[in-house]
Amino acid sequence: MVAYVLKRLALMIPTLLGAAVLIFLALRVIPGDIVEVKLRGDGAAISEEVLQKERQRLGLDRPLIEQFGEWMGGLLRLDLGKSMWTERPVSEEIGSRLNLSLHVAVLAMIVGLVIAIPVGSLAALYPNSGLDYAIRIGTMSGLAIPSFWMGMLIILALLHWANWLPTPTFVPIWQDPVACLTLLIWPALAVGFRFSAVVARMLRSTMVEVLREDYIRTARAKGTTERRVVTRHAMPNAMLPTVTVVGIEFAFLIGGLIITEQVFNLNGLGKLFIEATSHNDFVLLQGMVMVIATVMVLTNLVVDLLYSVLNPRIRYS
Amino acid sequence: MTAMAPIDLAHPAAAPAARQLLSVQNLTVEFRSSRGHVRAVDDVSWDVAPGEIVALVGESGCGKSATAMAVMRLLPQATGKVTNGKVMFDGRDLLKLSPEEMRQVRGGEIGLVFQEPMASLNPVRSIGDQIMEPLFNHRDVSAAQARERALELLALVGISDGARRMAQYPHHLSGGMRQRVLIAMALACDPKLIIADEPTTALDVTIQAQILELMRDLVRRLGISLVVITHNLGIVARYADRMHVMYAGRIVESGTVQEIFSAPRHPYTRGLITSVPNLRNPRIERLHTIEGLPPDLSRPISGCRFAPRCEYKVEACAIEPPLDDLGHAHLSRCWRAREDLGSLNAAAIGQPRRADGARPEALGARQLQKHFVLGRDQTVRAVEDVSFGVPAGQTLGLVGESGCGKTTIGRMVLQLAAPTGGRIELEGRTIAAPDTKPDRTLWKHVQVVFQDVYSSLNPRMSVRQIIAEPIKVHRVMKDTSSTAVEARVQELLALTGLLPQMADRFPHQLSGGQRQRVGIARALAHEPEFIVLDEPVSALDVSIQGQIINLLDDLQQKLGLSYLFIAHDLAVVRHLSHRVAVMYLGRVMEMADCDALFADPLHPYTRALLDAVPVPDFADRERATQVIKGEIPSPLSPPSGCVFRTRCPMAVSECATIVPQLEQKKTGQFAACIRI
Repeated sequence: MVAYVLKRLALMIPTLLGAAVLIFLALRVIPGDIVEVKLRGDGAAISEEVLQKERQRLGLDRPLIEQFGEWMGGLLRLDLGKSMWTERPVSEEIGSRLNLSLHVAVLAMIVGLVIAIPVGSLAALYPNSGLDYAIRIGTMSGLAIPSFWMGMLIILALLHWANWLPTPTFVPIWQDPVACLTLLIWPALAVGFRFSAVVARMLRSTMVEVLREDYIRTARAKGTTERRVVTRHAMPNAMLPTVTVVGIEFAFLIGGLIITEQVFNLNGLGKLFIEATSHNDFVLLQGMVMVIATVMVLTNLVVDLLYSVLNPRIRYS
Repeated sequence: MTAMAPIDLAHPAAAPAARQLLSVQNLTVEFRSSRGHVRAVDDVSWDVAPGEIVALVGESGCGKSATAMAVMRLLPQATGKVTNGKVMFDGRDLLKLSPEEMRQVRGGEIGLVFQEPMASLNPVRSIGDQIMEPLFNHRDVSAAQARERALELLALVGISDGARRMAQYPHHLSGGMRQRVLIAMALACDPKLIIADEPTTALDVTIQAQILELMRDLVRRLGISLVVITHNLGIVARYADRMHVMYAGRIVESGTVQEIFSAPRHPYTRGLITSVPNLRNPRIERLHTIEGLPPDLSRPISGCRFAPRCEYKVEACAIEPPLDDLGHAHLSRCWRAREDLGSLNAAAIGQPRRADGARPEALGARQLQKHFVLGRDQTVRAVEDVSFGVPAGQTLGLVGESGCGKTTIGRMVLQLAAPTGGRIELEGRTIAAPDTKPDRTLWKHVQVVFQDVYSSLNPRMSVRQIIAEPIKVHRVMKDTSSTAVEARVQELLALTGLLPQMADRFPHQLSGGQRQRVGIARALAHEPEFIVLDEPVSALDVSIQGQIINLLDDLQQKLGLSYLFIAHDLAVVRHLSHRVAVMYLGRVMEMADCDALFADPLHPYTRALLDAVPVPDFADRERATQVIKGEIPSPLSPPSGCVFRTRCPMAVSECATIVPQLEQKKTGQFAACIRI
């Protein structure tokens, strides 16, 4: 098991290297110039000479391979470089915002699972009943409604009925859970609703399959209560494919946050991403892509490990 | 059982002593389906006395399993329903119990053992967990008591090293051991009755014999009653006291096993008994078959349900006969039950079957070897040093239990796997050797018929397309115009006994036997000289099995085909083969002409196999059967020397060091054993 984890961690290196090359090249291919935006952005008449000097200072005039080498060298030392716009270290720029975004993502996942597991199982226990149809319609709408639209509805509802909006100051949950939750539960709901729809549909269909399996009949033949048949026999098996979906959806969820954070005016990764893109802040963008790629790869690893815990037929070595 | 002392055995207050433990009365079960209501069980009554072994026999769809599920109230809730009848168990009608009371009966007073032990065990929960569950469901036990009882149960069903097994999961166990675990689960709470639904269908014959001996032993020792549901008449003849034959939802014949096997009083029972090739009788020339198919139960049926397939049909059969009581508790649902319908063994004795040395060799294997390398120091020796020859126009039977390498040999003949040593020759030309590349044109000459026809036919292709495809792909005919191809398709349908209109059907619209005929027609479309038959009848009901075997026999004679017949069923192999090779763990143990091998088996493994097969004959019960012990070792670490020595009753210390060679022990009869 330890050997397997080490192997997987070693395999992260080529994956991340690939991501690094891709984002580095993509940013160089896209037109736009941070120096231009930074110095001439407000319409000031700055001479070409000054611009050239600034480019020199940021190292943008050097050959691509050299720039890439320098960035790689930094990555090896876990140094993501300095933002070309604010001149602050990228790790500092990302740090607090990543914290907020991960908070929202994890909360959204929890909200999603809390809704999806009972709802999906109920639909599977009474297939083709009125309840099942209601749940299927509900989850279908969850898939159809984009999370930013859901977010806007939540904000409107809060204003309409409570005439209140949370103050957008973020505190980590371990410092002040109440303040943290009052702020983040709303975006988590907006994102988690869609998440729950995806997972509930998956859980329903696998659960319907599992309930038809012979070992469920065996459990009943042993005189097991219906409740235990579901929780102890059907659920662990039905969760297997569901865990895979949860992992994939979690990765998507981080990408989806960009718009939702905008809607809720949260200063998270999403907002930073938009700013960095509009500034053509290459170093910051590269840093963010690397961080997100790492989160994704780690999520995958966690899902695979969780899978092996839930399924004794799979043993990694 | 004295060791049960710590567990409270309080049963609900005993009802007034009834003679019968279980009494199913006028039970009717209906299923809702897309084609309307199907009356799967129609007015069925049977009893089980305490300590008795009762068999419910019939082919697929006859309602035997539905009856058992109705007794346990485990019919699928959405579609299945008991519409009439009573199930009296221990003085109570099970159908009237509340769900909670019924839950107490399940696993507490009646234990169930299912077929497919892998599918019937929860893959993600440990063996120990699953065996202890019924105890927690029904008895007030602590975890330690439950554990102790589970260990005791594992020992009872013959699983050693119980503590280690408890922590394992179903996929760690062999098929036979999983079945033992299922039996242990059913026994956990000391039930009065065990219902076993096809308990050994998925198992190898030697393991099947072990499991059945174990079950008979246990019920006798613990005074439990047993209901066995099976399609295998051999099992009934060897183990049951009383039997009920079901056909199309009805009981057609009931009685003691002895009485029914010596004098069956219903044509269907007669047909069933004679359809199964009987290993103890002389080989008959053609298998008796029951033509046609069982009726569609979603349509109303008038008259005797078996009449359309019955060779003794008379006018009176237009009205359904009642169950006629013939005395000695022998009942038959036939108007002619009291007539003498002639001897069961009237069939013509077969011509002797032996390999014809004068014929050229169609296919030969020379020192064939196949190893699968799984990793460092892990090699599966699937096939080791196997040589044989198939004479042109004749059949070589390849028999053995799972893991013996017979299917791997079939795959190598079909070029689906390359040998790692030795070679295969087709009419003298090497077609498979470690360095040969697959040759597409060979598939025209060597074809295959698979066991699981349903999954080997593309569900989206009509029968016409399935049969026509090889004709077009391999350009078998010069003229590939659509009329010529259609004519050929019709010709092949006729040849395999299918009606012309079947061409427009899809595989799911056909019965199992019809599908296998399509599979054979598809193979014949290539106009091959050689066909690999990989368990072609093992998925079929006995009455259909006979039809397919006779068809294969006819085709061989008509078209001069050569067969490599791979099967685990010795009786079927005997019927079709000219020469037989018995395999065990990748090696040939014995090879001889068919009649010689079955008349005088030399190798101890061949003898064990023959002993393990239950035959549909009550007299066979008296045979002192020595059930071969142990499980088939893993091909990853086969025993040194003779691979069979770990289970061999004749093994001596030299067997561990000497690898026995296949030597001629009698004229034409080869065996690999140093003790004979």
